[in-house]
Amino acid sequence: MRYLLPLCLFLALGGFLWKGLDVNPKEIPSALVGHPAPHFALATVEDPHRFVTEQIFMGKVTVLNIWATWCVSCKAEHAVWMDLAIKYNLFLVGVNYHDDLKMAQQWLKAVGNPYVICIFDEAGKLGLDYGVYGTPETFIIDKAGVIRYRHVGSIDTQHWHSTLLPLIASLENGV
Amino acid sequence: MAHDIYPFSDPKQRDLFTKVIHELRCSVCQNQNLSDSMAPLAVDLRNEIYQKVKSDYSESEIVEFVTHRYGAFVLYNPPLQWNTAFLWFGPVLILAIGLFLFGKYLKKNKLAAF
Amino acid sequence: MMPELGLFSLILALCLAGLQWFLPGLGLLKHNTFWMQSARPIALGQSFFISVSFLCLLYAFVQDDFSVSYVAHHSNASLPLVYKISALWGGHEGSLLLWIFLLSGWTTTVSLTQRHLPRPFLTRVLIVLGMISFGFLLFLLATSNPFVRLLPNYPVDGRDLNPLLQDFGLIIHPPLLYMGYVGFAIPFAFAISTLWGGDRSLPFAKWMRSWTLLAFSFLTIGIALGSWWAYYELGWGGWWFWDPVENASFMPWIVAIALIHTLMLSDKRQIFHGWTLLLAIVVFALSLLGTFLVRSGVLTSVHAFANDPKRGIFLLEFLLVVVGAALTLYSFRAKKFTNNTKIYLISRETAIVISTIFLVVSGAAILLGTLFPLVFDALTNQKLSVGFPYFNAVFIPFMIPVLLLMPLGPLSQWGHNVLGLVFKKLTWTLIFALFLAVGLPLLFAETVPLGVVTGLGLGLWVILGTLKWLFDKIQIKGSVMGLSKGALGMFFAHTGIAVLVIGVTLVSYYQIEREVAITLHQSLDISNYKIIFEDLKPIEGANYIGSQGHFLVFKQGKREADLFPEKRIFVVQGLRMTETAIDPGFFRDIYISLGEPLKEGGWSARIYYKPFVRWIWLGALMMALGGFFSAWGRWLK
Repeated sequence: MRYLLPLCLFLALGGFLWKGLDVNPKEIPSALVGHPAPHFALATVEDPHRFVTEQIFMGKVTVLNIWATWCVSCKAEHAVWMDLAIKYNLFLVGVNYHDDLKMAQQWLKAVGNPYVICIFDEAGKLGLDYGVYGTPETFIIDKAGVIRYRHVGSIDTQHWHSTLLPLIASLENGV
Repeated sequence: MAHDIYPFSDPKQRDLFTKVIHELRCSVCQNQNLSDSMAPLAVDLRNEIYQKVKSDYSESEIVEFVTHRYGAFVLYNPPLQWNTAFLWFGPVLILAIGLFLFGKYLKKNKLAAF
Repeated sequence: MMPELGLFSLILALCLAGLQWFLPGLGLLKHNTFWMQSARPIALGQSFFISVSFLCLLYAFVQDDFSVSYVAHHSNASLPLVYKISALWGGHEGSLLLWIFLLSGWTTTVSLTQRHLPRPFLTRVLIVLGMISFGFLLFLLATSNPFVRLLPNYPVDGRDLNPLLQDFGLIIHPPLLYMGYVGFAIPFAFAISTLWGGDRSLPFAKWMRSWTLLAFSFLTIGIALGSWWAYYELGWGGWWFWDPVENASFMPWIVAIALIHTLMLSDKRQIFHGWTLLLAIVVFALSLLGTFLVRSGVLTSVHAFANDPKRGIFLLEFLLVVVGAALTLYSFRAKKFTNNTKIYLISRETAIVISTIFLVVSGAAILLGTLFPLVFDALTNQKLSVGFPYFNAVFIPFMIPVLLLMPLGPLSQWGHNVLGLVFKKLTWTLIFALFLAVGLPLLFAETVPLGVVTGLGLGLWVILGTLKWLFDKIQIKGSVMGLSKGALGMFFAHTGIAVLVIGVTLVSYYQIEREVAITLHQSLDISNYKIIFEDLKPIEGANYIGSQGHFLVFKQGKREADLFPEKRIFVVQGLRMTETAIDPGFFRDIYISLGEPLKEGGWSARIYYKPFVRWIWLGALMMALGGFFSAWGRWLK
C-alpha cells in the first residue's frame, strides 16, 4: 500500500545513517596509493649541498615521514620514531615541510635524528605533490617506489603494530 | 595604488581562477573552499592554481592536478559518474513520481472545466 | 550545591515526563477523565523543574563556577557577562538543555491555551509531547549531563568561549532557531493525535495552523540571523554555504512552507488530509534529523559540536523510534483521511498542491545532497563532497515553478476554475515584470545575464502580482485597515520571498571582490568607489589584542564612510580572528576584511562590493512578520 512508502523510505534512510556512524568524515584516504612516488629534487637538512630525488626509494621499503618544527603533534611523535627506527631497522626518510632550515637542524641536533635522510621541502612542493594536508603524515613506499599506504596524524604504537608494521614486513618479503 | 594579490590582465582568466578556487575544498579546513581558507596548504594551492591559470591551463587540467593529489573529496561539484547518478537524477525522479501521483488523483477527481 | 540541584531537577522532570505519557495514556485506555486531566498539571510540573535546572546552569555561568565541567569548557572569568549567559548554549550539553527548556515552554503554552479542544484530543497531544521530552531528558542525563563536576581539582579559570562565538549573533541565533525547530513538535503532536484518534471530522487543520505559522516564523528569523551572522563574522562575505548544519535547518523550513499551504487545503476544502498529516510528521522528523546530524559527528561541519559515538547512537535510536512509530501509525490510519473532493485542473487548489510538491522535492534534493557523502562512504568506502554547485543546480530550478504560481493563489478563489482569471488579471503584470527585469539592471550595470532576468523577473512578478491583489482587496474593503490579519500576513510573506529572491539574484551576479596587498595611504577602486587605507593602530580588548585599520570610502569624490576592520588575537586560546568592517546600505554594502600583515610591508585585505545583499535578510524578516500576522489572525479560532 502506498501509505507504507514513507515508512519504508525512512527505514532505508535510518539504515544508512546507522552505517554512517562508523564512518569518520574527516579522514581522507590518499589519492596516490598505488601510484609511483612523485618526482622531486630537493636538498637535505643535514647537508644543504646534497640533492636527492625519489630514486632513494628504489630497492628498499621506505617509511616517509612528513614533519615540521612548527607542528606540535610532530614533536610529540618524534620520540616514537627514535624508538621504532632503531628497533625495526627502518629506512626512515623525513621530509621537513614548510620549515626553517636552521630551526630544523637545531631541533634534530637537540633531540636526535631518527632519519636516515631528511629532505628539506621549504616551499612545500613535495608536500603538495604527495597530497599532504595534515602534518604529521607517514607514507609507506615499496621497493619499486610505489606508494602503498598513507597515515595521517601522529603514529601511535597501536596503529604501528596493527597496520604499518605488518605492511612493511610483507613488502620486505617481496609482495 | 594597491595591487591585486592574484593579478590578471585577462578577465576570462580571472573568472576561471575565481571559479576554480571556489569550487575546490580545503583538505585542512574542511569547511572552507580554497578561496577562503588561510591554511598554508590552501595558500600553496592557490599559488599553484594561479600559475597554471596564467599559463593557460584549462579548467579540467587544473582540477585534475589537484584531484590527482588530493582525491575527488576536494571537489565541491560532485562528478557525474555511474555511482553518483542517483545524486544527480534523484530529485527529478522524485518530482516525476510526485507529479504522477497527483496526476492520478486529478484523473479521478477532476471537475470538467468547459 | 546549585549544580546538584539542577541535576536533581532534571531527574524529577524526567520522572514527570514519563508520568505525562503513562498516566493520561492509561486514562485514555480506561476512559478515565481524571487521569486524562492529569496531563496538564504534570506537564506544568515538568516545565517547572526544567526551568529550575536551566536557571541552575545559568547561575553556574554567571557565578563563574568552574567546578562545573561544562562551564569550565565554555566560559572564562574575563568573559563579558552577556557572553557568560549565552555561553550556556555555546556547546552541546547546554544547547540541548535549551532545546528541552523551549520544548517545555511550548508544551506549557499548549496546555494552558488549548482548553477548548476536545479532552481526548488534547490529552493525546500532551502524551506525545511528554514522550518527546522524556526522550530528550533521557538523552541529556545519560550522555550529555551539563552538571558534571570537576571535583576535587577544578580549574581556577575556564578555557574561554570560542572567539567566533563571542558575538551578538550567539546571543539570539540559537534561541530563536530552536524556538522554530522545537515548535514543530506541536503540529507533529497534533498530527499524531489526529491519526491516533482516527476521527476525520475533527477540524485538526484549523487547530494546527497557528502553531505551525508561529514555529515557522521563529525558524525563519533564526535562519536569517545565522546567515547574517556568518556574513559579518566569518570575513569572506558569504551568507549561505549549503553547509550540512545550515541544510539541517533549511529542510524543515522548506517543508514547513508546504505544510502551511496544505493546512489551508485541509482547513478550507477538507482535501489532502493525508498529505497534510504526512508533512506535519516530516517537518518534525527533519528537525530531529537535524539534531542528529549536528551532534553525532557523521558530517563535517563548521557548526558541529564535539562528537561522542554514544550520543550519535542514542539520537539515531530516538529518531528511529519516534519517526518510525509516527510513520507506522500513518501507514495504518492515513486511509481513513482520504477523500475524493473534485477540483478543477486549473485552480487555486491545484496551484497549491503543485507548489507543495516542488517545495517538498527540493527539500528532498537538499536531504539527498547532504547525506550523499555519508551514504557513498558507507557503500563504496570512498570520500566524496557535495557542495554549492550541486545544491544551486537542483534547488534553484525547482523554485521557479513555485515562484511562478505564487501570485495565482491569492487572486483566485476556492473551488473555481481560474484559467480565464490568469489571462485577464495577470498578463500585463507578467509583461511589466519582464520589462523591468531587463530594464532596471541596465541602469546600473553593463550586462544583464539570463540568471538576472530570471531571478529579478520572478521576484518582480510575485511583487507586482501580490500588489495587484492588494489593490483589488483595498477597493473591495475600502481601506488597508479592512484587511484581515491573515491577508496582511500573506502579503508580507509573499512579497518577503520576492524581496529575498531579488536580493540573492542581484548580489550573486553583480558583487565584486578584490583581494589586494595594500600599504598605508594606498587606494583601490571597486565598482564606482575609491577606498583609501588611511591608518593602522594597535588595539586591546577585554580578552584580546590586535590591530585596527582605518579605511576611507569615497564615491565620486564624496566621503561616504569610515571603516575600521580589525585583526584580533585572543590570548587564552591563541586564536586569530578577523573583525570585518561593513558600511551597510539599502542598495549596497561595502565590506572590508583584514588579512595578514605582509613580509614586504602593508597588509593583505579583501574588499567587497555587495549590491542589494541586505534585501536577503529584509525579505526573510518580512516573511517572518507575515507568519506572525497570520498566526495572530488564526489564534484561538
